[in-house]
Amino acid sequence: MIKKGTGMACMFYPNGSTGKANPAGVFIKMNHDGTAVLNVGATDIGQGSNTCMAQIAAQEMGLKLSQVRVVTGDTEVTPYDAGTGACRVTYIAGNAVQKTARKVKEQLLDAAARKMGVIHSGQLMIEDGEIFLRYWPAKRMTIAEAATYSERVLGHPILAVDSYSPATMPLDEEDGQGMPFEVSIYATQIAEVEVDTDTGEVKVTRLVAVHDCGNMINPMLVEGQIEGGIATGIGYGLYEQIMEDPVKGGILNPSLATYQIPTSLDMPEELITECVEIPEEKGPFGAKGVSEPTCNPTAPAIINAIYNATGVRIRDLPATREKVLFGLRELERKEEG
Amino acid sequence: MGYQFITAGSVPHALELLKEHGQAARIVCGGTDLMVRLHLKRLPECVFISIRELEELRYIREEDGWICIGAGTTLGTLENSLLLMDKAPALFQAAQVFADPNVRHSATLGGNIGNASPSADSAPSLLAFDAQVVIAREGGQRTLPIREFFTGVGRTALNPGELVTQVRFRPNPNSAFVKVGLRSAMAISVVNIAASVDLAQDGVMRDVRIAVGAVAPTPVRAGRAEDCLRGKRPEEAVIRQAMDALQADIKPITDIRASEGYRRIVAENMMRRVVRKACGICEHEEGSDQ
Amino acid sequence: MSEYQVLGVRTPRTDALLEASGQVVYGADISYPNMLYAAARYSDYAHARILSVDVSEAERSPGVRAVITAKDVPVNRFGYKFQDQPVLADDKVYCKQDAIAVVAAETEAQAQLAAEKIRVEYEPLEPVLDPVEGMRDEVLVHEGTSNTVARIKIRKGDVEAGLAASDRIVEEEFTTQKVEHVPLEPHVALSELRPDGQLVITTSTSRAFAYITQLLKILQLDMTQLRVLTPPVGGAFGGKNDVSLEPWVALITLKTGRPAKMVFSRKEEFYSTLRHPYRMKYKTGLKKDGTILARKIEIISNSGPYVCLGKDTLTKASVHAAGPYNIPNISVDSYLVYTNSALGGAMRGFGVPQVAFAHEVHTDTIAHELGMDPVEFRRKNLFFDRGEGATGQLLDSRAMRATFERALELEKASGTGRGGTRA
Repeated sequence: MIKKGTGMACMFYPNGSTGKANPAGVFIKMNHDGTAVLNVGATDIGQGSNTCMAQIAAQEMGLKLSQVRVVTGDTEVTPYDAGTGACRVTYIAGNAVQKTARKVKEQLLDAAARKMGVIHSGQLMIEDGEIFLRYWPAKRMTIAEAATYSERVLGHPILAVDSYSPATMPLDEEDGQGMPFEVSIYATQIAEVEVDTDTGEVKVTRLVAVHDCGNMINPMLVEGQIEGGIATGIGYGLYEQIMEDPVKGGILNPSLATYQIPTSLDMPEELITECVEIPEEKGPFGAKGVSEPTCNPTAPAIINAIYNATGVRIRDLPATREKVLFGLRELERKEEG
Repeated sequence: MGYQFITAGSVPHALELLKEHGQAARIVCGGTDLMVRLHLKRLPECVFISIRELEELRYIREEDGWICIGAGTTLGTLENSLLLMDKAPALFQAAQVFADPNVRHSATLGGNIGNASPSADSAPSLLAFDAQVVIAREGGQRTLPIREFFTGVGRTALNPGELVTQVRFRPNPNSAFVKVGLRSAMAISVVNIAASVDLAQDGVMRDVRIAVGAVAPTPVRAGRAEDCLRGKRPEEAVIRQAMDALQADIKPITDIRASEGYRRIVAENMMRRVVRKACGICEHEEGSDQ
Repeated sequence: MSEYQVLGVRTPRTDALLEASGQVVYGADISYPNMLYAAARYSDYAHARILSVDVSEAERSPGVRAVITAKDVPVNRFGYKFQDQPVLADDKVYCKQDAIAVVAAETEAQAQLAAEKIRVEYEPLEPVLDPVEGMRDEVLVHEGTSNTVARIKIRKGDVEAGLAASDRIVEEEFTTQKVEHVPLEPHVALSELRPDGQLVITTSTSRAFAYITQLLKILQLDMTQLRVLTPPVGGAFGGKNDVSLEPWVALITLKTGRPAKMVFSRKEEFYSTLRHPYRMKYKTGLKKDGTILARKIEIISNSGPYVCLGKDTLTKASVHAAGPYNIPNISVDSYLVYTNSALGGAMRGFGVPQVAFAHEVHTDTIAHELGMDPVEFRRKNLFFDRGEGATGQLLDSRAMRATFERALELEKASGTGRGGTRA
């Protein structure tokens, strides 16, 4: 028989390491042609942070995305970064990128002001790749012209460096009290499962995932990261486990044939993801990171759904078919006896 | 000596090569089992004799009431065969859940039975159809009932110099296959089971053949369970009896995928499911939250 | 929309086309002229004293140009907070995933073949595999050091008073398993000596600067002598936070002067760090109306034989263990325990997936025991608008309410509308 149920799980998770400085360094060089090289200490590990960092930089400097080239992960060139982890890149490195890009923009506008004979660069605006006087838009020049003038006439190469580290306090050794993080993100997921009572198979038929990441820099990347996290969470909840020899030690299943990760067919038939966009005033353009903990509520939502469908309460992960089936048998025995 | 790879140009050529290389020879077609073992360094040095290019071994055809399938036919071809869908759903359904699309496009029926894994997904259906294995050898061929083909884990009744060229069986639309793996694709079966039922107008099962995989060193026929069902209607009490009888037909072990106890329960439950499915009884009554 | 509006836009990743068409050059795709390939020899025991390592036959094996052992490592202990992990095993092996020697040969197959010819003589010791057993310190993983290598304590309010004042106590125990990150791209590292004498290590990592900091100490070099480059990374999930094969290829290059490369097999990928398994005890005191008064938590984490990032993950886990719920009295006691089982490390969620599983399942159990709807029970206790975490920190948690209510709405629109409620 197929039994259906839904289950919910909530979570909170910080952006950044626990109770310590974890700075991100950024260095931007604007070229004479109005393109820019963005040096970020944080590495893109496949999640798309290079695109996200370039978007923040381009938006701040008034460039097109294609005009920003990202360089990462070279200890001789890029400034220090604490690393791509702790869900910290969008928020912490993103803040560093925005701060640095703002400095580049100031230098650019200063050069333009001098070229145009304007007293204060605050009178200038950037739009669609051009710099112009706010109250006399006919007076204008391109970003490339301003950058060339700065670098090659004024002898002022446009370079900027900055960094960001969240304001935290270490935890007290004795009572663990303190302010370990600057911002946190939140999420709620609701899973619907079908449990096959003949086999213990659990199918996740629907998963609703609503996450918080402040404003989204790139909704497509956010969506991808939530979906990927759900795959990780389904693996954690239902399939994956390292088995070790209990007497001699050693991993018994170090292969993809015996260590079961979920396949695309094991993903929810219906997957609904959404972000509530509550801007984070401390984040770059109101953004926070989202990716890392997207897996966290998935397993418990599924486990709660299994209980609501069947009455079987799984307290040790993963909820293999065997555990669910034996759980059902035990319930039957209890009901009979 | 390392590994050698020779492509056979015809069945007779393959037989010559088998003779020439004797014990060292190893037939390869889809390669989905052998290449994995080669990569894991679990394959002794050998001479691969590839029959992959032999179009003459790739067919599904109907002849005199038999369905004949060339040994080099891929599982992907089987899962797309309307003939099998209509007349031999058990094998059609097995092909649909076999590994994943990539593997199905290379793996072959001959290879799947020749590899003789206890959990081979094509085996229960072929056993339930009482299929015959056509084996080419020097100077002719012989035919072996599939029941006698599997002799142990990874072992078959093939003699040196012999090559499986065809599998044939009398089709039966009242047949079905069910697989339980540990995930929805690329899953090695924990239990797989097929049933072929000779169903009378009045719903009585004149004859029943059931075969189960991954519950013994070879895929097995469930003779005792069949005895309980033969001549009866597929009613719950009857099936319940057969489920109990099935326990004596199987001898599962505990391994990294599942325990003996789990396999025993699931084998029973899947027997109910596959018999009902073969008889055309709608499965999956739904229950909502408790 | 203007090309200059790049924020909040569903723009494809800048490398999307290259990724989709297989043109990205990953570490495994790089090769240098005259390059050697490395293969490691791993331990045969989970816990043993090494009596001798005989590499002579391996050295004579075809194509072999160097064999590296602990003797070749300038500083043979590394780690972020605790320098307890050897680059190559010296006096002891602490788990079956420990490497004892690394062979460099002209081809990968030659290196692998030679690695099998290394003869290691052991004195097997009793392994400690279970952390609870390990806490008794009957067998020590590291001599002279308690297996309970780190302890984290959180005290907010007075948990015992809170429990005493409760109408109802709910207790539960949870366990989680070890899991592997399974990145599509396994670990890979290359090293080469540039003509000016600089050693360049190219490695698939999330943390180039954390790596170079460790590698400088291990190899006894300075920042002018060593450079770490990161090629495009094909997934990490926390699994590429810790030095593993980088010193091996570096030492081969330093010894032979030739470039070296190593790519982990899928099996070796499982030998790198895994997500820590936790055992968690939860005890919650409640008022009849469903108000949570106190929560007492104990966590035991199986670190494997080294600390690695085990203390950091356990700290983050402890801070989040009580869940996003307003609870005035919380105590958390967490223990990081050495064992001779496979090494734990960072993984996506960094200790919190384990406790999130526990606190969310516990929340449902409590609701059912109180006869309350789990949805309503959450609505009553969640960090709505402003939360106060276990460390006393105030959180702007407006988004907790927003995600909660929106998820219920979406579930209602598409599904049964039950949310987390049991029918």
